[in-house]
Amino acid sequence: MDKLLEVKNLSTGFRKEGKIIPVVNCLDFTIKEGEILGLVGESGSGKSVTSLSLMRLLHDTPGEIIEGEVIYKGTDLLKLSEAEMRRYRGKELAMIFQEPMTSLNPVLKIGKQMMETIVLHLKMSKKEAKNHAIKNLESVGIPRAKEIMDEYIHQLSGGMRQRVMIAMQLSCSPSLLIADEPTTALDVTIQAQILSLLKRIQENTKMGILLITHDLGVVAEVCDRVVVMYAGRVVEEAKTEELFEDPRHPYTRGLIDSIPKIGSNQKKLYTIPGTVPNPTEMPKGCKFAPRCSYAMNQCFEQEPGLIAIENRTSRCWLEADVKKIEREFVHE
Amino acid sequence: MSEEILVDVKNVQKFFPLNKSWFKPSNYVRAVDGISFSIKKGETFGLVGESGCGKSTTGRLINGLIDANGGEILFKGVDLVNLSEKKWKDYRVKMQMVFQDPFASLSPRMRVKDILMEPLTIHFPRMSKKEKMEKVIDLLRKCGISEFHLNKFPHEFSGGQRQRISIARALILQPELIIADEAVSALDVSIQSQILNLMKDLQEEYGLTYLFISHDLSVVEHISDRVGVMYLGNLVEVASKKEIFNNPKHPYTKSLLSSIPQPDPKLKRDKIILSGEIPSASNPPDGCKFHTRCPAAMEICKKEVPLMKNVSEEQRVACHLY
Repeated sequence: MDKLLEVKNLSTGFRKEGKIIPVVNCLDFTIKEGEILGLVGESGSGKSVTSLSLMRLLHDTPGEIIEGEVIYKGTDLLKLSEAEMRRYRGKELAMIFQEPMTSLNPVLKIGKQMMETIVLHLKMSKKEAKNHAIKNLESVGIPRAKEIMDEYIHQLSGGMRQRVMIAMQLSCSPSLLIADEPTTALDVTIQAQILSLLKRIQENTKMGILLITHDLGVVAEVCDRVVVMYAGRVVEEAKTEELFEDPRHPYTRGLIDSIPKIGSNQKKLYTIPGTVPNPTEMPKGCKFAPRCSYAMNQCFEQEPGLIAIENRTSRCWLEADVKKIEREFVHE
Repeated sequence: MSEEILVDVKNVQKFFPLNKSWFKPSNYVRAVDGISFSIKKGETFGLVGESGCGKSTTGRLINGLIDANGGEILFKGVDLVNLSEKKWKDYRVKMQMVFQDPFASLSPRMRVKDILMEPLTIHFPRMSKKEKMEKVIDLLRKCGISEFHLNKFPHEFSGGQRQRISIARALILQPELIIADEAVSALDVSIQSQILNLMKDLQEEYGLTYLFISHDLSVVEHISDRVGVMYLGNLVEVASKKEIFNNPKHPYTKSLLSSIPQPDPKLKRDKIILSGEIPSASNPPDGCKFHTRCPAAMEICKKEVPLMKNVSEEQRVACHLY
């Protein structure tokens, strides 16, 4: 599989009182063609800032990209002019958001919003664009596609809105779809519909998907590979099955153990003590050390790099010297 | 857990009027459309369902935050629906609520100590200030907030800490029933597990009864003893946790269970993906309200409303299949 998108050493920060406070730090990951990569983390871990950085949509925020490269099919997106970038957005890279109600225009008819992208990128006539839009709406399972073209977004239910959003973003057949918490606002039965739709589309079109979510259940269900983020850093990357079978980073392990699992009859849930650090008061050394039950002296002084173990990586000193330290992750 | 029934909800209804107008016949959202269940003393009763199914309305009805249109809510044998406002004051002490959003449910202008002292001042006017302070400090410590934070405002805390304060506020009057309405839904998993453990510990210590309202079945499975499943204003199934999760009877419960994403990629399940969307509660389908999405719908489902039937001692289902 070829590399579709390569993120190299990407750092993004927020400007506050003249200083730049980094919220995403030296991010490295790759999305291959035709794979679904999950990006998981809790609130404040920098997942959404990452997605906005990739799409270069940070101008409405106090955020700015400090350094790094985002290489899409050989082109560094961060070096493009705004006009050139606009040609990529919507055509090559598309993005769907958590809340379609706030990310679609409430005063434009659905048909008009859909045709706008199609006319702009695919250079179709209005009539062709209309047919193309209807075809796209039908392909995401919208029953009254023709009528919905003349309706507004508020007339639809949450699940239907998300379908419209998906249809709109896929209308120019992008190679990469960034989905930022696409099912978080939906009920479970509707979530199941949307996830199976995304999977079906992905299998048919072979596009790459970056799925950003806080829900490890969703990751386990649809992703091929997972990147776990904590405090703006990648802490672990692995194939989905390997990650759940043998999580290497203590944070990943803690996260998986914190979820109540149906049928497991746990009396007590495992908890990670403390909370996510504030970006302005990052601890020295490993950012997870203050909450980590395996933390050693070294962890508080020096931040570990991403350490490769076979096909996966983990940002933890435990991996650097596996043999010396008994790696026993058993939570009582 | 005793067999004593703390709350008995009997055929309770709540309709919200829509488009009130002189010329149009008024239409109603049937938010809670005749539901019956009971909560035993000391247990955790989980109420699950998707958005708009009436689970939060049910919680508010029990707590008297809104008035029911019909039916009975018995709390220790006393009907709360027809209780006078004056008598309600005695019962409010016995049941407290914890809400979903700890950012919205704590007054931003009150210090932590004032938030916790206020209920004591109202309900125990004769208690001395020192005594009140001792109670507050003791309870906050049990909820994991140190004395050091007493003079802080809610915005100085993280979401998890705020939820701890909300729980302490609910407990300060030593209630018997806590209604937790999506109390952990806004929290990250690592914080969610802290709060769930705290709630379990407090239940053991104070012998609390919980009505735990949530859309998250995994959380409900973890904390509940018995579970009620709601769909469009009706209870479709009530059973012990074991029966609901191992032997669900209602097609809706089955599909709800199969649509939860499980954090285990090796688990290959045959998913029941429901077609269609949840119908509007102002214009629900005739007969069984679930028949429009039900994979097992029959002719009779379109016409007749199924009644709650006991399929075993611990399991009641409203479905024509049984």
